[in-house]
Amino acid sequence: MKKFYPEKIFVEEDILDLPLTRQVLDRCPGIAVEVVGRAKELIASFRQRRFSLSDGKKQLLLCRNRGRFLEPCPGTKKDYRCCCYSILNTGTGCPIDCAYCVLQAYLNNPFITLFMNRQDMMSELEASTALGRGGITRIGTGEYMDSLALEHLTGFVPFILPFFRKRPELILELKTKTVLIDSLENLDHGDAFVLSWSLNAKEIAEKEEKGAASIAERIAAAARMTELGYRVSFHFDPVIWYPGWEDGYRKTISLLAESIPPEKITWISVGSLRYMPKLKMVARKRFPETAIYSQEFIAGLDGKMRYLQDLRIEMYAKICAWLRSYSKDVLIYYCMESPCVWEKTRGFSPASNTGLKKLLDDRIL
Amino acid sequence: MDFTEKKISPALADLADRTFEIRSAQKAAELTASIRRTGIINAPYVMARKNSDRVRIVCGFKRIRTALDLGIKEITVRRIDGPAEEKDVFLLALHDDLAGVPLTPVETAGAVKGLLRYFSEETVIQEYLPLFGLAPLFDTLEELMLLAELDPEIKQGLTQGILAKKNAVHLADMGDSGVLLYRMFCAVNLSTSKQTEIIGNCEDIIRRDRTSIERLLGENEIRSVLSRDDLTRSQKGDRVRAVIRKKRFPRLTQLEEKFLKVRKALVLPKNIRFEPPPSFEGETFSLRIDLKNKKQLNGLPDVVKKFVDSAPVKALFETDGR
Repeated sequence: MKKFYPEKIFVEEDILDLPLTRQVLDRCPGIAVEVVGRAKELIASFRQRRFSLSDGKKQLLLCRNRGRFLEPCPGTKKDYRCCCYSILNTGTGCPIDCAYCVLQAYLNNPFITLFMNRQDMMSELEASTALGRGGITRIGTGEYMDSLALEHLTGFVPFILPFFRKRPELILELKTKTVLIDSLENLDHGDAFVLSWSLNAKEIAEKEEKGAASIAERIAAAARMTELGYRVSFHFDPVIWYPGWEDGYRKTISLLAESIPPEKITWISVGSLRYMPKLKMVARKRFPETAIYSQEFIAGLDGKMRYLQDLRIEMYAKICAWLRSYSKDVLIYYCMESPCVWEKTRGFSPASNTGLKKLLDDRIL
Repeated sequence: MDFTEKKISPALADLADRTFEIRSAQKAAELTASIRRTGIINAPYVMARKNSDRVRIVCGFKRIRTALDLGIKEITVRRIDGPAEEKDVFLLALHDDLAGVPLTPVETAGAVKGLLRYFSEETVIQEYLPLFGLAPLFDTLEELMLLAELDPEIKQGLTQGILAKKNAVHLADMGDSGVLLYRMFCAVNLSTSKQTEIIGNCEDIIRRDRTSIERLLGENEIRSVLSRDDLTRSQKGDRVRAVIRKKRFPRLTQLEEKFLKVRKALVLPKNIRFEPPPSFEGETFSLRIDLKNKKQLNGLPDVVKKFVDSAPVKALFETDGR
């Protein structure tokens, strides 16, 4: 898998001298750099030009995060079970181009953006009183970007490792569709991380996840990491219906079963494709060939589009059965599903979001 | 720019040269009546054509056409003297039009397309879109260009109010398929939101089933609705919409039909409403009972008991595993 290097880098003037900025620029020799005032103004000016999100994915913006670094996952707490995840914002956007990526409609910033004010991030983490309260805090960096796609530029993992090592009540989940694991190979990780790979049917990965590693490569990378003692987990998310989907997902699960002993897996999540209504138009324009938005979606109780409940139940029941034939014990949970769907496919539902959180926490302890 | 007032024959105006025409060419009865009564009050702007007696019209196409229609032999015009850059003349025409009644979306799109002949996209976005009251964004420009390039049939539909702007833009984006859908809309009566729904559903069906709008609209179920003389245009519209929705959402419509059968079998009084979960998401059915007086209130336990004991309700909840 090719490492990402931008065609051009924009740098906010006031972060030019920060150590991380210097490091990223040093690791991108020969790439044009333009110093700009505020990122906000740059983004606004590009909205006045013929400049697409696809163009933005070739360019890197280094700037200061003026908001919070740590935030609760924007899951829907009321009608669907949420695992009480926390998000650590290290940047936004991603060189991998998935047809279903919510960021296409969620962000108004077309650039791959990295936040350079790491010391502010550390201060916020150190000062947070919410971390570790009520058990384990699972924190992820893969919500607004791939956790490892830019690791060769940022060196984030070795940077953050000491903080997580000294806080055993915290666990950092690094979610990726890449196989960029070389920087993790020689780390004394101390079980501070869960390395997670997003998995899908091979057909979906090939058609709808442009620039991502193949499914076989992802599983092979995960297998390698288990050998190095890392915790690994997998996310079948989004599960996408297409003609022949059963065969596609079954094959991926078989490959997983052949490659990784189930006891090495911390958890597996399953979640069907869901999206904010606005995404369909944006994604269709960018991916004219995709048919993933043309299946039977309804507006869910949170306003997001989801497959009709009956269809979700059918898909989850089958996927869980295949996963169960692989392992009776591996923890399988649903991301953002209703108690009703849990009940009908698993015979139980976590009593609350805290109940679901506890299921996951118990895998860490 | 300098101008000279001149009297000329309207026949000397080159109506075929529409370089500076921004407003649509439709005649206005009020203008005809006004010119018949008082003549042309505001002199049209023209510019001389090289080595010719004829003049190019800058502003006042409608006034000059109307004068010709009324057989007026001579009109007063303001002629631009000396050399003038075409882009400055276009801006003159634009500002003249902006001073009048607001431009329609199609006229705005045409004007912006005209501006792009003389200025870069960035200049048009930043300097001129706000003149039309539009956001200075590339997306706005892109939408306007779709409108400017509309198929003439769809453009007419927009002008005549058969289509709303957002639907016209969407149809334009669909190419020939959009024109076919527009023709179907002309044969029925549908609100803007229903048209939007049909456009979206048709797009989804053709992607999902790898078919075409032509084949979809040519299917028997739709053709037979459209050819029925006993239905009003509104009835045809609603039925076509239902057929397309069923094709788009086969599982959902099956659930809806099943529930409707149950509800029909219940023969509920008018003050009771029984509804499934919205889009069958979740498992909460709702029973609403409207009460007007004490008598109805006292009868409530019986009403609820009858509902609970009814076979269709029992069957519904049993088959659903509740």
